[in-house]
Amino acid sequence: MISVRGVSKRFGELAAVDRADLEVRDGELAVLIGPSGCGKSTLLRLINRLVEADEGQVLIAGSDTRSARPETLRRSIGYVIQSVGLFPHLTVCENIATVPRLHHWDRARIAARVDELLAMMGLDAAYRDKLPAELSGGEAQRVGVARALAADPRLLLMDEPFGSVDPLTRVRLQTEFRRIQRRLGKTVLFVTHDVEEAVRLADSIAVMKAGRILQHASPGELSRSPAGPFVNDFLGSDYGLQLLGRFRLREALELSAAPAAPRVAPPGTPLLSAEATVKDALSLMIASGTDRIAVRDAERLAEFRLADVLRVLGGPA
Amino acid sequence: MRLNPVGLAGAGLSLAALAGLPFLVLRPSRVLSGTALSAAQAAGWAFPALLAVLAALVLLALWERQATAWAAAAGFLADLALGLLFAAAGWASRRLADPTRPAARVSLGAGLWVCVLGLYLVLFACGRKLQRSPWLKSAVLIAGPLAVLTLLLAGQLGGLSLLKEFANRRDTFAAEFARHLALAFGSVAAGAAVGVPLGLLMHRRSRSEKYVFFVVNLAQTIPTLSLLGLLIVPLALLAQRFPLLGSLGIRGVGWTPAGIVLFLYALLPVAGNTLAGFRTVPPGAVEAARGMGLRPVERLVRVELPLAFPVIVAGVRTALTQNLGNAILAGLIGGGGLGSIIFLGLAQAAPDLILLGALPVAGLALACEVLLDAAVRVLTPRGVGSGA
Repeated sequence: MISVRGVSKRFGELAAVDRADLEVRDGELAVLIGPSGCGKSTLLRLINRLVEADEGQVLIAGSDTRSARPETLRRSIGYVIQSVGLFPHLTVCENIATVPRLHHWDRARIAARVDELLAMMGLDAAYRDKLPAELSGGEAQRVGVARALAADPRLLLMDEPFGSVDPLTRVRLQTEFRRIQRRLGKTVLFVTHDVEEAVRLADSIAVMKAGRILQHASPGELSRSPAGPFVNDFLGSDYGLQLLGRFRLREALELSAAPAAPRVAPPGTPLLSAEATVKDALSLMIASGTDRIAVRDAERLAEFRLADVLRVLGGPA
Repeated sequence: MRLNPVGLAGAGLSLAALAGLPFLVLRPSRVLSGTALSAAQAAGWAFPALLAVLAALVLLALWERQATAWAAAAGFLADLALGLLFAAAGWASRRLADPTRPAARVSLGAGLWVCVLGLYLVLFACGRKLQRSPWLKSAVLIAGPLAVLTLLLAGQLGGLSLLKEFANRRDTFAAEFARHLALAFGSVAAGAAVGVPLGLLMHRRSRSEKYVFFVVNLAQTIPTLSLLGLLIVPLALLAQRFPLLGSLGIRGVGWTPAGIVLFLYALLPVAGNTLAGFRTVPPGAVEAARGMGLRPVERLVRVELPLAFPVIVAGVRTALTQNLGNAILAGLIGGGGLGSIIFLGLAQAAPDLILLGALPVAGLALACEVLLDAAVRVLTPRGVGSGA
């Protein structure tokens, strides 16, 4: 879907992006991560030509991004930024309708699309006529994502989109966004400096430093064979724990072939929902000093043990 | 119990002025000084009524309550006092008229003016309290002046010296009034036509800011009269060199230099506010607009201008209020306008002729303030200025 080939961008003496190569497959959620100033935002902006490359080329679905006007290119790519950038003088509906209007969609089609997107983002129809000032940070970012999705672009560029909301809302937004992205099959390039966020969302992670992409691999691969000490250090000593956050207990229980027969947890056994992650489970075991917890979902009450944790990581990650 | 200091000062001032200062002045002729009459002597039936209304205002100011209701009540009471005041003056002037002495004049006394000033303070205090209900604020500010205007148009004030001066100069007054408006509005329109693009230029090319501001500030720094003087020579030379220009009215004196100076004065507030307005546009909104593929013109029209609009109009309002006053100086160099009436009055030492020029200027400035305030409110997009 995206092919970045030998792209460089210099600002004066500083090489913000230095001969970067990156391939992102159709439907993949790729995360660009690195310390601040590593050039990850610049690389993102090179793709929709908010920044023009000094050398190299960017292909989207096989065609060079320089073959059309930058505005035409940008209208076919969703763009979400940390500050959201909703237009304060326009309602939620008008904000979402921005790109469809540029495409001259008719009124009825726009209205239907806005309703569809609001529903998808879990915002009820009453939000249509609200102004950005009346939204919470989380709601505003949901509208920001809806606006980026409005004209149904195949590709989304997201620059730390969940960086300015509180941690609880951030996790909820990440989870919802991941589900929506999967369902719609959108290709996403996502910039963050937060390892936990990267691990939670990514199909693949590209680690950047000083304008260069050091390694682009799946989260599990990064943990098994980091390409050098910087990648290892940047991911942090708790990267393994973060990795556990990728697995829901529902999936983990199937992986570890836990008994399907309902078991009554002994009184006092800590309980988690099947939607919680293996990381949550481990954390709860540590906090309550036990080596097993009960996991509840709709049909059964299963047991999850400390030994199951390692079995999870043995699987494909 | 909470005090409202401005309201109390205004109401107290009005009451004291009405009781202690001359309400009307009876002059043997338009330029001679005359005998003062107190409100108690001159106003007849209206005097106790006015005293009652003003006393009520003082009490209200002493007993400030829930803001909106209090401010509306006090404001409309002040409007009532204003109307009563002029109704009383008009009525008294007709009663005092002496058919055997046609040259005699009845002028408005210091007491009446101070009373008006006090009521203005009350209205100002009420306006501040009514920020949250803008329509009520406009109503409160407009009702009193409207009452006075009605009395004026109904001929109720015809016995006053001021109106006699007007009657003597009906034709020139209309022409000078129109010229004044043309000078003020024309210069501001031209100033906006140039100032808004200048502001945009400074916003888009920040390196141009210091140069533009240098030029625009220079015009503002040089005193108006000096600037007028400075323009006389080059414009006169131009007219001499190119007779065509001269025949178009471009001369060292007259409306041309006045118009140019007023135009230069309008530039700073308009350009400055335009820049400030564009700076209030959240950078995220501009970034998002670019990222979504809005072209520069679309970005300007759909995002930046609507968001900057209230601040730009505030600049135009400042320029207009300022130029309505500055246009008086056109009278000094043969440029016409209400200034020529004022300066004629000064030359003749006829106070009511001065007032005939000065009062409409003050009225125009206040009216523009209120009207443009309302216009900004109507035209401002809903989400702007609400902390977004």
